[in-house]
Amino acid sequence: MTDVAEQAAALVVRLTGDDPDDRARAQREFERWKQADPRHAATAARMEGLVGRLAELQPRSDAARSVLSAAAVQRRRNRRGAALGSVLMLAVTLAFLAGRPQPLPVTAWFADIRTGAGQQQAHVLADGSRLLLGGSSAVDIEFDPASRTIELLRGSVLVDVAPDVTRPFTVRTSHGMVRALGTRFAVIRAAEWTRLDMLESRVDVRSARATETREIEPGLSVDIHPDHIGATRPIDTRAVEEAWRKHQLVIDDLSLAETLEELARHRRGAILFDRDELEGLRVSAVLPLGDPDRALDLLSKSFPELRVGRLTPWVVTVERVVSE
Amino acid sequence: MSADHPSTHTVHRLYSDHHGWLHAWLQRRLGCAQQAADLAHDTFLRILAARDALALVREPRAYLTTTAKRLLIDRSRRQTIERAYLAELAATVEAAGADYPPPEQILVAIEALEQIAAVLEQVAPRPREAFLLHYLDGLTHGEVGARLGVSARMVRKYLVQVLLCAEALA
Repeated sequence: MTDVAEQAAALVVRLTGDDPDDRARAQREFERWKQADPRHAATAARMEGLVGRLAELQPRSDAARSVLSAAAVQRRRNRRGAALGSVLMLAVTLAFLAGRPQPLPVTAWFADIRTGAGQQQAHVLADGSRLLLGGSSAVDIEFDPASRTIELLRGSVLVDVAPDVTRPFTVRTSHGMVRALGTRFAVIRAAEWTRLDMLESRVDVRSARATETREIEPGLSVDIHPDHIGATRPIDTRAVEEAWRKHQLVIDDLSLAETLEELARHRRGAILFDRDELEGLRVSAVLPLGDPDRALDLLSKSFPELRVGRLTPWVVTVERVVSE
Repeated sequence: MSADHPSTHTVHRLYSDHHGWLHAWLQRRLGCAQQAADLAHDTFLRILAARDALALVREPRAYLTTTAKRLLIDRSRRQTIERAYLAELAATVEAAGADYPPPEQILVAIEALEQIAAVLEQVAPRPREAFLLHYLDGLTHGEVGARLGVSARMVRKYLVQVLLCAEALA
């Protein structure tokens, strides 16, 4: 370790020593030392920066401690990783989570209403409209004298719009918007598009970047992409309502990969799998959203060739085992 | 360009000679081509920003894998801290019915914790605890010593130790 670093460290530590006279002396010596050489100043700045950052966390010292402990535990886990593969896998999983095509966690934290994984929450708005948020969802509410707008930042919401002829009610995502006067419908925000399940009455649908609007009737579902609106599909409105009521995920002939992706949205952590490996496996089932791990169990029972592994309580892998 | 900074030419050479190999190596371990591609890319970026041309030329593959591993550890640490901090924030805010601090402030706190965690990782438990008790909890050197069962002088040695460790990482 260089002399410069040792000198700096010794001085910095004295700055917050127990003896007030020595603190004052150290302060003066430190100032002189810093000015003596640009390298001194640079080293001093780094050390004071580090100490200062910790001091700034003092008001939240409990939280800081807890976070630093978690980091230390993680580090020990990473070190102990049996094979390099598992260490890398774990770390990359976490990076993968960070890169998921969902809004930044920070945005969602500031939403007006937010639910955690597997939670459902009902709200009545000022105009009497009702919202039922699905799990891992977040909405912002923007009501003013001329309009009523819900921004769905992530997840899904079932909306019961109270009639108000003076103010249209709009549910918006980055992909497009759904406008209604008085109806009942569900909006689900996926990564690349937003899905509308139309339950009662009618709405107008518009893409974010297009001028086309389309009216959607009840009993239909449509995917709203930023630049176009997909074709409508018929849905069983009673089944959709039931699924919301019972907090279930209705899967109607979806690939296993897509099912796992949907399930992952409702669960903390990640579900890792290789799409190519799971090619050809299709699912039709009703899965419990409040208990995604049970849902995974049900899936693995339906497909005996699947092996579900647990890297951590949060991170699950789904592999297809080919028997020789 | 300083003598110990790898020239762009050297790194380009490294890239064309070894990128495919690194990608395959990562893919075997991660089981995902996309993640492997991201990581290989970031590894080369980090090497470009680093200052160790010698290691590059002598043992390119060992250097590549070491860098990739370090990158993953850093990412893992960042992710852990982000989650843990946001969880703590949520718990306190919701319990107290208070407001969230502004996003920039949150990010600043997360980055500070990241830096601190990286330093503390390298340090033994006692110096680590001394450092946190004094700078985070605001205990005096004497109080820290009483808590840890050592003299105030020993506490100062611990603090210096951690500061020097941080400097070595910088």
